[in-house]
Amino acid sequence: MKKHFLLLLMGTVTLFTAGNFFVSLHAFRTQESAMDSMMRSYVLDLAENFSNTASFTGGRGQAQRHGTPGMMRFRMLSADPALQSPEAGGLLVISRERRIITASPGAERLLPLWKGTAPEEEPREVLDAKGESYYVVVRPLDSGNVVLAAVSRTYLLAPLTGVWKTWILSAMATSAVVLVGMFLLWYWLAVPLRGIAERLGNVGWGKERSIRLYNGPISELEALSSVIERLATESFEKEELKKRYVTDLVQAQESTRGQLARELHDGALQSTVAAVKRIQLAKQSVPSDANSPLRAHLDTAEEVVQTAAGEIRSYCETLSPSWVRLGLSSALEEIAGRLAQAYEGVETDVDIGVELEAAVAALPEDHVLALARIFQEAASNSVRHGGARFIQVELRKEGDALLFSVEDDGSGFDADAYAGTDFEELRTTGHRGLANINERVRLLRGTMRIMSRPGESCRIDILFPPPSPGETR
Amino acid sequence: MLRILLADDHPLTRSGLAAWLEAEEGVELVGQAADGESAWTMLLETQPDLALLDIEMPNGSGIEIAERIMKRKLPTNVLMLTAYSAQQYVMASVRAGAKGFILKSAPFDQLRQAIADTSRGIFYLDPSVSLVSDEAPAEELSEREKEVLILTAQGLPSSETARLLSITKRTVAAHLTSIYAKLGAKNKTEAILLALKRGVVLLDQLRFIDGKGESL
Repeated sequence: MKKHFLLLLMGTVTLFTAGNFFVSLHAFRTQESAMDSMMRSYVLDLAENFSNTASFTGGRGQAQRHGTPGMMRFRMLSADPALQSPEAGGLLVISRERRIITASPGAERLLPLWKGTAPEEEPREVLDAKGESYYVVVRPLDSGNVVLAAVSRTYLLAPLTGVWKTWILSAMATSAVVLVGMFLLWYWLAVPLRGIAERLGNVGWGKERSIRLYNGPISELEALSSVIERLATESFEKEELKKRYVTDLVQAQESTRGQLARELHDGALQSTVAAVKRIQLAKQSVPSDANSPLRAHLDTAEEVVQTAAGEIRSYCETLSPSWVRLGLSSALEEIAGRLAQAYEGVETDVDIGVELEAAVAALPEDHVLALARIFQEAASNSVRHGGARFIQVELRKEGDALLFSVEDDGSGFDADAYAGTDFEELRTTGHRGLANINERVRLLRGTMRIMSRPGESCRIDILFPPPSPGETR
Repeated sequence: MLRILLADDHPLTRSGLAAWLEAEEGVELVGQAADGESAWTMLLETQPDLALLDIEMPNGSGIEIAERIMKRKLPTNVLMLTAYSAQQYVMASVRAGAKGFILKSAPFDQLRQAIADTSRGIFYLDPSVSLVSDEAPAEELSEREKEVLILTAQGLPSSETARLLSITKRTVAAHLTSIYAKLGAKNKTEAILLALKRGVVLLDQLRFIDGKGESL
């Protein structure tokens, strides 16, 4: 109910207004016809009253006296006192020759309202020379003359019909204005509001830099939508900032790890290796007597330092794999080899095919590292979650861009469910894998597309711009 | 006397190795280099029988030097000496023409063996480089399978291998599957390393095509 308040309100107002309009129209018509019949019966009464009194007095044998014009005028006035004011109308006694025998005061001017010579017993509405409306009836008298009765509609009803008409017409006009107003309100307010609401429902906050919500004459809507438009832009910029921040963070992390790995490798690892060599040399100078305590100490020392070297090597490996320096193909093969070893005996055999277009395989180290991490993540997802047994990885030119794709034959998942998802949100819900991949894709300034459905294979396409010439190895 | 050149940028490791080499019988240390450039100069001057090259060095890695030796057809065999144990370093070394691969921390007995093998052109791989099934019995590969393996070892994608052998990609994949099964390998790299280690494929059979192997 509250949900459609505006619609209901507008509908109700429109309905009642339309009702009011038609009721007023009906009232106007009824009023007109009531007035008409009233006037008709009035003029008829007037004529009949006069002719009846004329016959009655005549019946008493006093026709001669009563038939004098003076007497008749007196009777006329007693038929209706209103006739004393000439504007209201009048009575005329007219001979068959259209000669006025007698008339109520000022009634002579009404003669032209009767054109013919025969009586007209049904009242008629006639306009005089000035355009005023009269109801006229002409009835025969016993004397052979006729009596013409005319009453002025304008004079008698003007004040009454004026008020009525004004009232009814203004009611109709008000209704019409309200109806037009409701339509305009609908057209200019309700329709744009609905449009704005619908558009807002589809806005990708943080994904669209600028949106256009409203362009019309209502300044309030204009103001409202410009505020929302600004919000959308701000949200986009914030999102961009967040993305840049995450990208910077990942980049800084990678570079710190790389540096640390290099330093460990060139410093601590080389020193321990050198120590191993020295211990081995020392062992050479000691007679290989099995019971010599010095020999036993040296053996232990070598073992300890070898272990240390092994540990440092694995730290380096974890921090930043050195083999990314060998190029993409080697890096991918290395990961493939390690995955196969990691899942040996646990899973069924995992076969990984690497197809790289030779012309595009030479990429700078940071690109190789990003792609290697993507592949590592994607491949281990494929094996762990999809139970994939074959993974195909490809890099090739796609127009001006490079296309890196990882496809498996696993059980897939509903990728559409993730369409348009903010991958940073996935991180909070435990889908670290996709979030990690997405970060690397951003490092490459690329876009990612996941194509998978439950029960089908999974394919991840990453489209990224080729490294600028300065970056290429 | 076996004439050996040693290149390693870490002074303590280098001097330790040098001390051992100098004391070793039947071996003559003809030079010690601390970076890639000086190693190359010394190689050209002394033309040793064997070069012990560190992979990570300033001014030219061991892999680059090995490639140059191969391109110039110098009579020097290369034994890679490194702190890295990743399989791809072995692959990169093999592609660059190295005959052997040994970790710096390996005991001298192993180094002695590696020097002996590589100087005779026999492939030597440090036992610490982990392979899935080192001990599985090797079955004989067919000639076609050897061709597929050799081309794959050169770093060619299977589409290119298919084109060169006028077979389909599917057939290449089928050959590889059969090769893996015969060698007990899990993937390309292991198949190649196992084949080399067991002499199923000889290093000399890997005639590398210029620009195909990746370099450091």
